[in-house]
Amino acid sequence: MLEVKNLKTVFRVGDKTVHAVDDVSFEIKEQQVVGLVGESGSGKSVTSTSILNLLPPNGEITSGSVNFKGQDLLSLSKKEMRKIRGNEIGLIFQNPLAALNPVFTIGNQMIETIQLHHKVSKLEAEKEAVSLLKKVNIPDAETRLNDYPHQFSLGMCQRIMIALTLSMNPSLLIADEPTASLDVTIQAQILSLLHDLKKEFKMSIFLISHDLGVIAQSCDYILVMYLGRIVEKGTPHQIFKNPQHPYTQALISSIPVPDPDHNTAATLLKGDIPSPMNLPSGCRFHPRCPKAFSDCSAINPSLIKTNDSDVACLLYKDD
Amino acid sequence: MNYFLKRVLYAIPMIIGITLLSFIIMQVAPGDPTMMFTDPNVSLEDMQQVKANLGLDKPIIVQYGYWLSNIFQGNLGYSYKSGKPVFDILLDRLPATLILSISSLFLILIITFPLGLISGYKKGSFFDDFVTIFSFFGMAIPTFWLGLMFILLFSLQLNLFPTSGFLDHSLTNAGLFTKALNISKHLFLPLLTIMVGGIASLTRYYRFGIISILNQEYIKSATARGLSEKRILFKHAFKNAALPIITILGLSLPGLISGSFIIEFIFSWPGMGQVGVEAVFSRDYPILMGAILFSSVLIILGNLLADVAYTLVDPRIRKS
Amino acid sequence: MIKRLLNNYSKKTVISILFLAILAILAFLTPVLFSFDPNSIDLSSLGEPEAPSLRHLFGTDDLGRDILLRCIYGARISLLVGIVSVSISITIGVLLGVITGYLGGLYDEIFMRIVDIFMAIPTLFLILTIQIILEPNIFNVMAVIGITSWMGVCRLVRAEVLSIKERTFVTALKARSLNPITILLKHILPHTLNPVIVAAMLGMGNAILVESVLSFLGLGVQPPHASWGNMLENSLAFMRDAPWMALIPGTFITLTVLALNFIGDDIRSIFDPKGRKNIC
Repeated sequence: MLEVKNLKTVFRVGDKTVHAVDDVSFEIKEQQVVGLVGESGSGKSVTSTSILNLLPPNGEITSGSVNFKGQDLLSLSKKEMRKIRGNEIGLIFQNPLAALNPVFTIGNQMIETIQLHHKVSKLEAEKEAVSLLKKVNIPDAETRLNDYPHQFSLGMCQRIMIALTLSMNPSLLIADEPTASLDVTIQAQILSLLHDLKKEFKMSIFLISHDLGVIAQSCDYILVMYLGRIVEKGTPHQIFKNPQHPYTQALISSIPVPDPDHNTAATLLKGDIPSPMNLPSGCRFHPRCPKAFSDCSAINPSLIKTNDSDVACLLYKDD
Repeated sequence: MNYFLKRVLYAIPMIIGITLLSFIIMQVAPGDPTMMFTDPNVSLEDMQQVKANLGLDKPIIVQYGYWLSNIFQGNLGYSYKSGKPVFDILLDRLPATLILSISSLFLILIITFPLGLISGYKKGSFFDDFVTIFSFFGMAIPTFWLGLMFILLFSLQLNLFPTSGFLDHSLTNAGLFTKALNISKHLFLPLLTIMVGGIASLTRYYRFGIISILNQEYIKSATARGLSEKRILFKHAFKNAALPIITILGLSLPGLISGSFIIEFIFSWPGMGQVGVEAVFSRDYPILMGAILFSSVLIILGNLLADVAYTLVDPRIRKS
Repeated sequence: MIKRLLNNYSKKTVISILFLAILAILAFLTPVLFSFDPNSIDLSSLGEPEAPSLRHLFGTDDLGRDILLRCIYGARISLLVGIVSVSISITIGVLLGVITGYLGGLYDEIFMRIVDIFMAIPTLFLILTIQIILEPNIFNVMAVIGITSWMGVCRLVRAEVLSIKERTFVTALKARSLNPITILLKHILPHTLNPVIVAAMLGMGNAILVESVLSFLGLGVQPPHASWGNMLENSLAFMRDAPWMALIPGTFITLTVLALNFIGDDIRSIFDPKGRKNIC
């Protein structure tokens, strides 16, 4: 359904160019949940905003294609793109409170969106809004329609954001860190809600998170990103049982296990993630990689197929 | 409502503080304070009686009490120069001041909103550069000099507008429409002068507000929901950026009023500012004091109004 | 900090600094190096202002005095007023702002109401009244502008101190039981520096504008000493026949204030993290 090929997105900051997303390719199939995992600053959000062409003015997609149901999204006009946004692809954000306009009631914002995408009267739109709010488990939906975003808890705001997005009935939902700002128990609620709604609305989900735990629970396919490049991709089984890339290995070993007897030391990565303004030569991970060897600083590996997942690392040879 | 009540309660000590400040200045000012409160037509014998009545033989704090009670009864004293009651003189001048300040405020807002909106939205464009340069110049030009330059250009060179005044003497008995037309002609230049500075600084604020709001996540979210740019700009960004303008307007009121007073003087516009500035020349302290009190109260009321307006339109304050 | 400034200045700031520097050098060195007298009367054009020419670049006034020379002498007054009165208002504002912000609570509540009172008075009128009570001379002008325009800085510093003292690093310093005065002076005060510098730049421009109004109304610098404001007052009678008498001093005021505002604006946008371009 969605096919991203060789996507490159850069930002211009002063006279410098930041390669935020570099040669990224992946695919999302009908009703599939694809997870994208990586540290902050790895280019996850830029990938999602590139798909919808919502980049800030200093960002630019320099090459690649985004194919959605047979259309190349990057070549669409502004008006055509507006039809895709919402109607076909919905987007929910990390901070739901910030994603709702604070000076309009949620009813106002929902009705506005519903009327934009469906030719219905205001009354019908209001009814639709109430039924959607009920679907995402907002109590007293009728009266709360007149409330402002700040009068809801963060978890509730995220439910409202989801309802708002679903009101347009999209076939792909991009969820950019939908649970990062929420408490752990609320996180689980939102994830299971997304799971249920996915079935009911028959949509695909592109789930972006820095938290492998979140990704592990809910995805059919996983992409691991490091500094703008996908370093490994595979099924959850492949990624978790037999991670190939040293970065993926480190990520997985850093997941805490709630067991006091579990004592395996996590593979600690040296140093911090480098600034995307100042990328290391060769493989971008080599300065922090425990298994780096001399070639790593010279050659930037591309993704290759192995028996398990696809991996971009010089330790592995193309079969 | 609680918030509103709190604001009103804040205003009371402020007004008292301003009267205290005025009283102190009057004490320091040269001249006999009895003169100020007394009808100049009373005889010298009565003067002693008046002094006792005013409590001038009492401690200073009691004097302030007398003075304050006089003020609250509408007795702001008598002008040294004309001998008329200050309150009447100022009240007489209030309409002209209000015509000038309200019409300028209204026009400033009407022009600022679209200017700042487009300039912020098209940040970095030719239009934005133009607006920014205008803003900087508008804020740097001394208002009174701008007024002089307008007189030089529009009145002396082009002969389009009268240099000064409110209404031509020959038209005192003319029809309402003719009068209004003539007043508008006189109004044009002072209005234009005040507007330049006001538009310059407000547009700068509003442009900045629009820019920072367009960077907010809810704008991105609205775009992601497929809303048109027009709708996002005119519905979502417009209101959010307009809210702080209410507060800024309240805060810039003292500056706007000070500025318009000098303009009234330059254009001989018969408002409070003109009498105030003329009182400076004739060292007419009662009038000066009255003008300060009057305009301070106007400013406090304006601020109160801004606060109330803000609570009415901003849901975050209203409902929390 | 200085490095960040040097890397991010814009063209308009360079031009502004150059303009102010040339103006200051001319203003302060001309009287020392040359023996021109700004009050010297050119008898050949007495009574009739002379239009700009090669002999008098910006023309002469009604007494035949060279306008350019008088503007340069006026610049000395204006720059001095800007610097001195802003020094006064910044000192008062920072001091009161730091104290009230650090003490907080009821004291802060009461003090801020007092500041509100000062802010509600149309300052210009207060200044005019004080000026006529006092002797109208240049030192009073500086002092009066200084003591009537500290409120903005005070509120700025107070807000900054209030927010900084709640930050974790201050709690950590308190936990190490450092002397509160040391915490205030060494760890909190420097954070208020940037907004205060910006306020100082804009305040200088404002002080220059106020001085010009005062001198224009005859309550500032007294003739025959030249100031931009009293040159404008003098020009009133000759508006029709000698417009340059009004045009030139006003242009000097505008350009000087503009330059100060440009510099202030640039410093603000460089130091304001919100104003910086967001990358991702």
